[in-house]
Amino acid sequence: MEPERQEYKGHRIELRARDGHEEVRARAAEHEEERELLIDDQPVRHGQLPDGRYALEDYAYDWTDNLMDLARKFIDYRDRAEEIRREAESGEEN
Amino acid sequence: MGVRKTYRDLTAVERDRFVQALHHVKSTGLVDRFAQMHASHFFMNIHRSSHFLPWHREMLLRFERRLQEFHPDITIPYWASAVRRSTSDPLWANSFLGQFNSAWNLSRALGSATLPTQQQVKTNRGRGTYNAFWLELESDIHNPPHRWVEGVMGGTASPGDPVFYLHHCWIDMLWVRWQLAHPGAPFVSSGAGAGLNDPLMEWPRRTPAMVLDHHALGYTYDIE
Repeated sequence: MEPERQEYKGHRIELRARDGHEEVRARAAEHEEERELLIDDQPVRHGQLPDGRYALEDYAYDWTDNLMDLARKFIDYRDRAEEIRREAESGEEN
Repeated sequence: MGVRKTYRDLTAVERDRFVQALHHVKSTGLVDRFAQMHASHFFMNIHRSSHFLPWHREMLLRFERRLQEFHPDITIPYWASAVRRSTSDPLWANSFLGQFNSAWNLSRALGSATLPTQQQVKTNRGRGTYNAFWLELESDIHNPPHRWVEGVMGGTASPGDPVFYLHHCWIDMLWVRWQLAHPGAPFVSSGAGAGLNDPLMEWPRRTPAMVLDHHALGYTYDIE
């Protein structure tokens, strides 16, 4: 399978076939998901729900049948959460 | 019979006792075990399945019983997030759940998403069949508060954040309210292994049929 790559708001998203590492293979078998998702070259763990929809382990409550779309939503969500944390820290300092 | 009620109606004594019990079960390793268990079953039949509500009812019950070993009068309170929507709500004060954010390294970012509305809850209550009810309840009412809290609560190991239990207590209460409004509605299976008499993940001797009647499980809600 050819890797699928996309740039989104300064981040690199890549979907590719998993390599042969045993641990990765075991995880793939467990969740019946053969593709590996990377954002900025970092693996993002994910799985499929009983109806086939995808969810990410760290962003587990937004479900879609398009993994690339989910990666974009995760980036937006993560940026928003970071902004909130920064504002909270700034508020504590002032 | 224990009465589960909104956290808003806890007395200061009840609130402090609940907080102390949470710290206790964290120290015993129970919180982390439940978080790991939830994560390991996340993609199985406990979500996006007709077992979603029965499985989490059983889970809450088991957690509550462990809290009651700390103090027998404890019941899990609920957080009605469609009503209590503010990030500065007393729920998040340091005297209550706010203290756990740093103490348990939860990395919350309150307000990261949009909470469900009271209209959504009302509309969902009117669904006439179990499958129409739980599908909408899970995706449109249960999911958003997980995203709103963020951090540990937003991931597959969400029971590592104590607000998980208050949130799921509300979801369980909404199921009770729907059951009371639709007394003849049968359980509808969403697929293989998700039937009324199929075993629940983690607890193979337990089935949805065993948890449909919450009174038989030993608790009631303040709304009844």
